[in-house]
Amino acid sequence: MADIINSIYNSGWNGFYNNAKFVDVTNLNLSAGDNDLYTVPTGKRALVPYVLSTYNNSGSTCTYQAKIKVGGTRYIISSAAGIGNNSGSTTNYRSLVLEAGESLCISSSNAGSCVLGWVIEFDDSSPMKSFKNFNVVNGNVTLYTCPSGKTAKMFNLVETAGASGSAAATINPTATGVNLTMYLVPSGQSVGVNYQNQQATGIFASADSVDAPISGVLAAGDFIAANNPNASNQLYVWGIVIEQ
Amino acid sequence: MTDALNGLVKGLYGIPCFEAPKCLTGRIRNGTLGDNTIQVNGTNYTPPSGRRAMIFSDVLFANLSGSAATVFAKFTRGANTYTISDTQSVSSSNAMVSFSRQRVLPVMSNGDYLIFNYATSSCNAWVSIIEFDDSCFIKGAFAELSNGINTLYTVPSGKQASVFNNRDMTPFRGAMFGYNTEAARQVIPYFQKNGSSINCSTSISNSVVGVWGSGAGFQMPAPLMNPGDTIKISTNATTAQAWAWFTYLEFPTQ
Repeated sequence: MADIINSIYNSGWNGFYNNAKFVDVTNLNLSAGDNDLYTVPTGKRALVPYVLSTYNNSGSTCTYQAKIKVGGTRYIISSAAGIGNNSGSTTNYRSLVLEAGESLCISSSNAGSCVLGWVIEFDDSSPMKSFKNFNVVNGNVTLYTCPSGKTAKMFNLVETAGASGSAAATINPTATGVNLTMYLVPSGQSVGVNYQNQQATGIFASADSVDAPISGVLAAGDFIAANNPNASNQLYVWGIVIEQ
Repeated sequence: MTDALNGLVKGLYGIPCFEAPKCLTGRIRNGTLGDNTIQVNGTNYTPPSGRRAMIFSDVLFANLSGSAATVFAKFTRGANTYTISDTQSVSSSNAMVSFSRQRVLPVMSNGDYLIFNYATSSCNAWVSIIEFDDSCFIKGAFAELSNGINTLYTVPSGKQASVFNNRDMTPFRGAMFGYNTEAARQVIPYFQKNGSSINCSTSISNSVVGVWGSGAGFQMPAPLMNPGDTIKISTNATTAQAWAWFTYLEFPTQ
């Protein structure tokens, strides 16, 4: 059935997932605070699409924020948004791929409200994977290195169809604005202006997010790096790659 | 040709798995005052038995009448004809207007026809149609609405489904279209999970009266749907005639 899902969700670009299936992560009775909606089983990965739909029937205004849990720690992947009682909205973010043991979460300020969502779960031998780094701070940080015998390409999903190139997603969890510069560096070389893929981009405080363009195909040993010159205020950066 | 067409269309729009697709050009040539049915090769077009069709382009009109013209769309199913758009103006003679496909997209089955009503004669129209086997998992819901709660779609056993957005041709993004014979209606589309009484309306408030004008399009919930899950719509159409339609994907449970 992977071909059907590839066709539905990836504009017919087949071969990104093996043994894929849709998994419903809907929760119609959220607890106040953090809620784990789905955890990736052993041997699997999961594509988390760009949106969770929310419906607030909690009785008063409710604030939602999407998160992922990696290594037991929850990280925001969206800004927080409040909606009134008996109203619906969406919580949007850039898609990512979770590895086994990682979770998709949502925080809800009130108990008793609803979230509607789904993921695509597939074998961890599939070409689609993602990099995630929650500590891009104080200089250059390597995000992803193409392994030996492989090539890799950054991948944009449906929500960015029509946008030029591919991009990593970023979000600023701190109260201080920072700058981000992205690099695509050939194997054996070092991060430097010759390999800069993007001019320094300001990312404002408090869950501001931007797309950081990364263009080009990576050969074995090539790597993607990010630079945040701020010594103490980290950024979260993630992206999806097709590694074959 | 089929593979090439699948690849082309999927690549452009994300439309999955057309089976035995065929692209057709629909035309109205030198239309007359009143109703004009879209034709293919000189014959009023309806998908053949075992096939469905959808419009995948804007509708282009050329006004050759010598004066300003107006046009609106209708959809015929069985013995019933439904107005499905507001009225568009073609400002002057020899002008062209693009009639957005967002307004005219009920998925067509055998016996359905697409009609454009002209307020003047001498207008031409062109539209691109893609016709495919009805085993394909692109489907359409079209229903007349009664006052109160109407169930538009229930996922059958062994299937999963997603609302398919006609605006940007992608799954899991909801868009419903509707028409009523009065100026404004309260209308609330919502998703109900099998076994739950909660009416999840992700885009339109349950507490605020939405205005449903003639030929409106609006957002609706678009979750992954499992067997028994439903798409419903409530309306206070006590005196108006109203109908709504949307496109969805229905595929084998994964």
